[in-house]
Formats: sequence, structure tokens, C-alpha cells
Amino acid sequence: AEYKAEYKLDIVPSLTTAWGMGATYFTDLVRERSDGRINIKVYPNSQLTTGAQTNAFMLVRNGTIDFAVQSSINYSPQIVELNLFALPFFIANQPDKYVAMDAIKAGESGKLVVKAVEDKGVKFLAWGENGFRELTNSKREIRSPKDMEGMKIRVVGSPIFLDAFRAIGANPLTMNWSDTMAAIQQGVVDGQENPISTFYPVKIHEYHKYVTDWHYVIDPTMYVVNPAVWKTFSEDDQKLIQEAAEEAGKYMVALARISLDDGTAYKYLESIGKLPEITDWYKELANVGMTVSILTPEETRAFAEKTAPVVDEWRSKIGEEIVAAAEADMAAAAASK
Amino acid sequence: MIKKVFDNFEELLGSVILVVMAVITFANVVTRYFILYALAFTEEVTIYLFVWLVMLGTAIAFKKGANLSMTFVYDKLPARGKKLCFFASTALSLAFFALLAYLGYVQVSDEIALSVTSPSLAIPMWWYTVSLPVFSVLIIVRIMQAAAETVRGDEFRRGC
Amino acid sequence: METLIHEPAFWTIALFIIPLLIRVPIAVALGSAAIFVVWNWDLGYQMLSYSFFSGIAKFPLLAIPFFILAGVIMEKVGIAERIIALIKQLVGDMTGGLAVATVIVAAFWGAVSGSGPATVAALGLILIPGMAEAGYDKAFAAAVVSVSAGLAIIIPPSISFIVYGDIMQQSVGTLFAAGVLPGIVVAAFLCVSVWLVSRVHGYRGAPRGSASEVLRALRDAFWGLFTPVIILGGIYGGIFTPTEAAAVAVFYGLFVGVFIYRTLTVRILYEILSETVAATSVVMIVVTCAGLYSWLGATVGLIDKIAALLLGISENPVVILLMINIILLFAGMLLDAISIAYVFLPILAPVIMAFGWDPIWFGVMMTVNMAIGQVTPPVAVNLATPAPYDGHDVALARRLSRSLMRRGTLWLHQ
Ligand code: NA
Ligand code: NA
Repeated sequence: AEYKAEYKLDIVPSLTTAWGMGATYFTDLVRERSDGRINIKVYPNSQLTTGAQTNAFMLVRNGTIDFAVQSSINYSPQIVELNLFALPFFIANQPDKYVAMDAIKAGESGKLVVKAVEDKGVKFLAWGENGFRELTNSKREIRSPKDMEGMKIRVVGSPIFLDAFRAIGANPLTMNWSDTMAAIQQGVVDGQENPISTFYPVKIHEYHKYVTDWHYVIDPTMYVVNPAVWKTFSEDDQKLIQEAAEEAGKYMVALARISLDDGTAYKYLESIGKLPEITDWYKELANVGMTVSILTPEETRAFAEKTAPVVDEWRSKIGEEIVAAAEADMAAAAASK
Repeated sequence: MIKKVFDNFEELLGSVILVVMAVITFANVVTRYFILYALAFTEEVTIYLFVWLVMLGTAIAFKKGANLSMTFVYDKLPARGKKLCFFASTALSLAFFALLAYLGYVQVSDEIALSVTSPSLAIPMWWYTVSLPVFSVLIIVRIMQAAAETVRGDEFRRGC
Repeated sequence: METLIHEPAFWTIALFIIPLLIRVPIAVALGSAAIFVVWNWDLGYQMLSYSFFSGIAKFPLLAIPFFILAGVIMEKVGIAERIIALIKQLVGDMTGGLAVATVIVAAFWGAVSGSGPATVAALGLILIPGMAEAGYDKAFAAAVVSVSAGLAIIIPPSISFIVYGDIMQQSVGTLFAAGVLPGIVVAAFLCVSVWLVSRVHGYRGAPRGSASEVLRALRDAFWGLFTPVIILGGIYGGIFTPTEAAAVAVFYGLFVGVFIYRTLTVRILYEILSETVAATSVVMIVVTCAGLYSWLGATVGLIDKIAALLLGISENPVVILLMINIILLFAGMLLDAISIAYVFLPILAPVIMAFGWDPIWFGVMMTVNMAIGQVTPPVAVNLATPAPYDGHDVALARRLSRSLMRRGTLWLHQ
């Protein structure tokens, strides 16, 4: 079949975030390796969905958008299984949260999730990662659920987030990312939660002085493509794109984890010669004047206890089979470590 | 009676929706001081009902010819020119809302097929988006009614 | 020529302007131009319904129906006529008394209504015949009402500011606050100029009322005068968002209509509601389609090109600012304020950034510009409302205003 002169790829934030860099790396690899035959253009800031990020899945599915690097959260209105990653403290409570995350991606539960995505009409290419979602706010240091009482927190438009924050005692508001910075500037909301690599580049520190590192949920991203578009590629080109997505995904995961894991991410980025400007997140956040509160396991537990009913409720909504498989995958990984 | 309801359907339903929206928003202000969460989830209902309201009001606007347009070139044209402009303009409006009706229908079908849920209340999203195709059809009906009236009244002779 | 035909940016502009000239509704012209380019250049026309939906469903825009509703309620329950009666009593028979009173009433009404033409509709029917009876030239009377009605979009609440805030991601509350002083300054200048004209022609007002008459008028109008306090006080006191303030104003108006003036009937309520639904939608359909259009402009790179062009003309901020004002003034002569905001602001935003201008200040400047555009031919909405008015026949005036409503000019420029 004939190739398009240019394919469109959708992402939510700006190109300077880990998300944006992971997407750009993918399109660069594809362009280079196809000698310029396959051109994919990254459209940042939810341009292709005119700001309505949770519509992204629908628009890839119906072919309006060819490719996307999308977070599991933005697909969860359409694919309830993806709420697995939004179960509060489900992965964070594991002995090593990154080992646990990788175990899900590689394990049975990951297969079930990918199947759920593809059953709904989108071709999955590879996993990326935005990172664990941390909390920032303009009011005070947060170390316990009590500190968050009544605080207005912007969350993405997904019910499980509302449930989790209500269970903690905060006052969550749903809002598109494209409206969020204005809401933060105007003080419409007191806080927000996102991976560091997403909120740092938009200079959240100009408004929020406090970060709570509680890594309550993770935001894995997926490289996906419209199935009809996928079929137009020759077998060789499919292989080329698939590999590029996997490599870009690895790069993105490392960007999201640098200085937050055991050093693996740093070593990987160094090995491919793509070390980012900032290689120590906590130091950088302190540099720009933020108070970083890294919760102790006991402090984390206090939050997890509050949100335990939410996990119970959502287990059945997500599907017992998938949640149990994820627990088994994580347990096996922890045991073999 | 039925004709009266049909003729004023948008005004009736639109008024009810506006009242609901105003009451919810007002109640939110009041309760915010007494209940911690206020009725934050109701924001979803209000802003999505707003889409219903705008679609209905657009039908009214076409029924009454109240949409904003630039008339100073049109006004200077002879009757034949006005007629031509009128048919071109009506055709374009019909085409636009026909496309919106069709794509809205596709969107609703997709949302039903995938059981897409709303961001706060997690109710089926199509309950809200169904306003697009259904009321687009209503707008099309109103455009055609108004056009028929214009042609019958031969309003091109008068300065419109 | 050949290259122009293959240039989406060219079609983006041409397909908007041509339908506009043949009286296609502005919203349809914007929307169909956008969707044609999207379809022809394969940018994914299926997003139309999704964008349409999310273009309307925005919390800050909810302030629009509520402020329109509040304004219509205040007019229909009789708050407007009571404020007019009071100001007339206060100004008395000084030179240009009625004209000055009209400006002051319009400034007050501006603090209730967010729309210029709506202000003409609320005040014109009483003030124009009133001035004509007192010997004012009718055209002058109509002009005073139309021009002062421009204060409605400068003095908060203002639909122009709500839309500006949405596009530029600025706080509507801050914009509202920034509009108060310029509004008062413009009102003062208008007072001086209508006074000067009145002195030449010897126009005066009705005699001032006795102290007890003034007091009674004040008591009557008190509830209306209190509205701006609720709206603006509530927003600045941090009690309400603008949207909530609008909803509170709605219930306050209903309260006054039901319990104080006892003028509100079910019939009038239905009229108020259905009029608001239509008026809101006339504004919102332009907001939605113009949003689609400006999104397209950004996606096909048109906006970057024009902004770069603009920045390339001069490095002198005064020159650029002057040029922007001329462009806006010219656009304001032809187009409604909302379309202008959506079409021009994305282009101007990088320029505003490049020169480090304060976006709030720019918003106020632009809005004053739009207020001028509302009374500048060939498309002068505020003027269009009372201009053809002739004679003292109120029935005629009512018929006229109804026919104008039908033509939609009433809410043009909101
Ligand atoms: Na105003
Ligand atoms: Na004008």
C-alpha cells in the first residue's frame, strides 16, 4: 500500500518532557532507519485532540490519529483494565517498585493488559513510562493524610483518581492538562499530581513549593498505532517500526527513572550517549526551591490504609483475573531478586 | 398541542436544562461552605448539559434567523444575487450540520461499543454526547423550515 | 498561483472570507473552512464532533449563559427602569442632563450586563424615546445609547473578558478587576463629549426631583444597585469564581423579581429562559467554531507564519502596538469580538510574549478596541439596534427590536 507523506503522532505534554523526548526519539529512529521514507510528526500539547486528552484513544482507533504515545490514564475511560496502574499504592508497596513494574510489563498481567488494549481496536507497539506520580502543592508540606484535608487537587479526568483523593480526604477536581497550568497560576487548585519529568519542565516550582514523593501510582505509557495504518506497512517496515518503538520505550523508561532507581537508568542512558541535562531530580527540585518530602514506609502506609477501600472496590471493576495476575507477577519478581 | 410542543421544543427543553444548570451551580456555591467535597462531581453534569443547551439554542437561532452574519454585502445585492447567496448559505449550513450529525453518530456508536465512561461520575459518556447527532438533526430541520419560509415569503425583494 | 492552491494556509483564510461575504453565519463559515482544510489535507476530520463537544464543555465558559441570564432577569423584572429613574432624578435639568444620565446608567448597567447590544436592548427603549421627547435629536439620542453601551464589555462582567481568558489562559477575575478603571475613564470622557454636544444644541434634562422623590427612587433602585456589589465583591473577595458569581447573580435577580418587585410571572420567566438559551447559543456556536478554526490555524502553521511576519516588520514595540491597534480596529469594523479574539489572539500571543507585554493589560486594551468596533460601520451592532428607530411609537420600537433580535444583531459582539 501507499505510504502517507507524513504520519501524525499524538502526545499530551510539551516536547521537552520525558514523554515528549521519548516520542521524538521514536520518530527520529523511524526516519533514520527508513532513510526518510517513513515520516512521523509529533503533535505535542494534545493538539490533535484539541486539548481533550481522554479522547486520544477514540481518535487513534478511528484513524484520525495514526500513532500515539499515550499514558494509561488517558486510555482508561475506554479500557477499564488500565486502571490497574492507578490502583493507589498497589505497586509502590512492593519492596522494589521498579522491579515490580517491570514484572507486570513482562508478565502475564502485562499480556492481559495489552490484549485488552488491542481488543478495543488499537495496535500496541511498546511500553514506555512517565514515571511514578508525585504530589506538588502551594500550601504546605504533606506527610500525612491529615495535611491534605480539604486541599483542592487537580487530577486527570478518571474516576479512580477522584475516589483515591476523596478517600484521603482531599478535594479532587478533574481537568485537562491543557487547562491545568492556568488553574494553578490562578490558584483555582492548590495541588496536582504528576511524574517529576512532566511537572518539572512546565516550571511548576514557580507556583508550588512542596513536593511529596509518595509514588502512589505509576503512569506507564504505550506506543500504539492505528491497525489499518499498521497493515499498510510492509513486513520489513513493521519490524523496523516495532524495534524503534521498543528502543524509544526503553529510552523513555530510563528518562523517567534516572536518579530515582538503583542507577540502572543512568547507566543505560550513558551507554546510548543520551544522558539528559538533569541527572539528579531531588537535587534539581531543591535547587529550584522546592521542599522535597520523601515519605518513610510508615508514612506511606498511612496513606495506603486510607485508600485500601478504593483498591478493594476497583479490583472487581478492573477484573480480578488481571489484578491477581499482577500480584503474582510482582511476587515472583520480588522472590527471584 | 403537539404542533405547539414541536414548534417550541428547543425553548421548552432548553429552559429546563438552563434551570438545572443554574440550580446545580448555585447549590454548589451554597454547599461548599457546609460540605467538604461540595458537589464537585456535578460540575460534569453542568458542563456537559451546557452542550445540550448550546445545540438546542443553535436550533432556535436557525429557526429565527438569529445567527451572527455579515450582511452589508448581501444588503447591497439585487434580488437575484440575494437569492443566490441565500441558497449557497443554506446549503453550506446544512452540509456542516449534516457532517456533525454523522460524525456525532459515529462518536456515539464508538462510545457505546467501547462502553466509554464519563470522567467524574463514570456513567456512559454517550448520554452526554448523544446531544450532538440528535440535535444536529433538529438544527437541520429548523434550517430547512426557515429556508422554506423565506422562499415562500419571497423575502429577497425586501431589504432583509 | 499554483503554489497558493496547494497551500492549506491560503484555503484557511479564503474559505472563511468568501462565505462570510455571502451572509453565511459566521460560525458556519469558520467551522466549514476549518473542516474542509482538515479533510483535504488529511488532518483527521473525524475529530469534528469530539472538538465540538470539548469546545463547549469548559467550566470558565459556563459564566456566559449565567451572566446573560442574570442580565435578562434584571432587565425583565424592572431593575433597569428603576436605575434609569434614579439617575434621571439625580442629574436633573443641567445641560445635556439626559445624555449624561444615559452614560452613567450605561456604566451602571455595564456592571450587571456582559454584553453591549444587550445593554442597548435593556436601556434603549426607555432612554431614546425619553431623550427624543425632551427635544434631543433622535440620531444623537440613539448614538449616545449605542456608544455608552460599549461600556458593558469594558466594565465587568464582560463576555469579551471571559472569552479572552479562555484563549489566553488568563484569570477572568483579574481581567474583570483590570476593566473597572478604564471603564470609568471611558465613561467620564463620554460624559464630557455628550455634554459638549448638548451645549451646542441646547439639550437639557428633566427637572430634578424633590428630596423625597430622589429618596424614593433610590429606595426603588437600591436592589438593582446592589447587584454589582454581589458580583464584583464576590469575585474579588475570593468567595466566588466568575461562573459562580454569575449563578449567584441569577438567583439574586430572581429573588428581587419575586419578593421585592413582585414582577416575575411564570410567563416572563419562560421568556427569560428561552431568550437566554438562544442568546447564549448564538455566542457559544461562534466560540466553538472559532476555536476549531484557530486550532486549525495553529496546526497548519498559519499562525506561526503570520506572527513571524508581524515580528519581522519592526523591533519597535510602539510601531507594532500601533499596527496591532489599527488591525484590530479594522477587524472590529467587520467582525464580532469573539471571532476576532479566536482568529487574532493566537497570532498575537507570541508577539505579546516577545515584547513582554502584560497579557491582562493587552486584554483590556483589546476589549476597549472591540467596544469601539461595536459602533463603527459597516457592521456596528450597538448602532444597528436603535439607529433605524423613528418616532415616539413604543410599539414600533418593540417591533424593531424584535426584528433586530431575529436578525441576530442584538447579540452580535455579545
Ligand atoms: Na459589563
Ligand atoms: Na463594527
